[in-house]
Amino acid sequence: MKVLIAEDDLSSRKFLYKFLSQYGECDLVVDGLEALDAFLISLKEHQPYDLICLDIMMPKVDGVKVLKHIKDLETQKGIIPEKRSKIIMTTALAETQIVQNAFEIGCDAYAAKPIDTTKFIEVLKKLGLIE
Amino acid sequence: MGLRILDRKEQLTLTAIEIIDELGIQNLTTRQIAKRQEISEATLFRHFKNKKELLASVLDYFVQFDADILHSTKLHNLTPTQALVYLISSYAEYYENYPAISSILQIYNFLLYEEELADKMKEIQNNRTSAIQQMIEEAKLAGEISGNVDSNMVAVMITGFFREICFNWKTSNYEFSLSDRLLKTLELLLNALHD
Repeated sequence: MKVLIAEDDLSSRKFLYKFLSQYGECDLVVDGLEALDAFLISLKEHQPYDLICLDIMMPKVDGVKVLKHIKDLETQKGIIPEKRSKIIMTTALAETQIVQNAFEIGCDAYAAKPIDTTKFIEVLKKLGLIE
Repeated sequence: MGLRILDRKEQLTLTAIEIIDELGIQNLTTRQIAKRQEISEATLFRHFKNKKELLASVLDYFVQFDADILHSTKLHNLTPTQALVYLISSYAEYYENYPAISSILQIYNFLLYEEELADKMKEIQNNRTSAIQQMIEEAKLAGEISGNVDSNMVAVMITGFFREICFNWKTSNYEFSLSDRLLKTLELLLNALHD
């Protein structure tokens, strides 16, 4: 599995990296612009991410806007739904309007911080990313 | 590469924040923003009719998470003082990871003399102060702090030290942890207000 972790907070970033590295190769970025760069490179190299974890309150471009751009790019490139990256939003916010917006745009799941690994594994299984 | 797929207005807003952080609000010019974006000033003015409109967009960007942070304090079922800690730590963490955005806190005095922007800035300040004041009121009712304190004065103290500590953090070249300093100061104040 190829994973992109977009997370500005160092401790959360380290935690997700350590946790998700057991399931595959992880790339790390610290803001929304870098996340878009990494996504565009993955498309260019024909090596898309299976999973993208997007923090919502990220510097420069927030996670929800990044999500919107990813979805738009996937549509523009004609990527079929089954081949699209699964996207999990991560945030310390509760289920507020911005989280609802993320679901309306098409994120696959939402993980509240601090992340509960048992629940996270369940979500990965549900999304068909791990068995 | 990623910057290019954002809409131009957003790119210009982010560039304005970057310049305010690096050079100060007094040195922010439309010419410089256009230059960094590698576009003409005429193109910039197709998106923002003047610098004031661009600064209004910067202020909108600056407060984009305010409603969600505040709403989260309610949804998390926290005690009033825990909610206050959550509120301050949410901003602290965001600013710590995006230092340039904290520079917008320091442009209030400059905007005070720009008619429409002053109103917008006052509204932001009032909304933030009122939210904190409400939490202080709730903390008084819950017996977490003394019932005798003036909640508006305490809210002003909190917004004041928040801005001052952010300023010190920037001028020290970010050499201390903003979260730690803000939360310790808040703790000190809340302890002093306890019966």
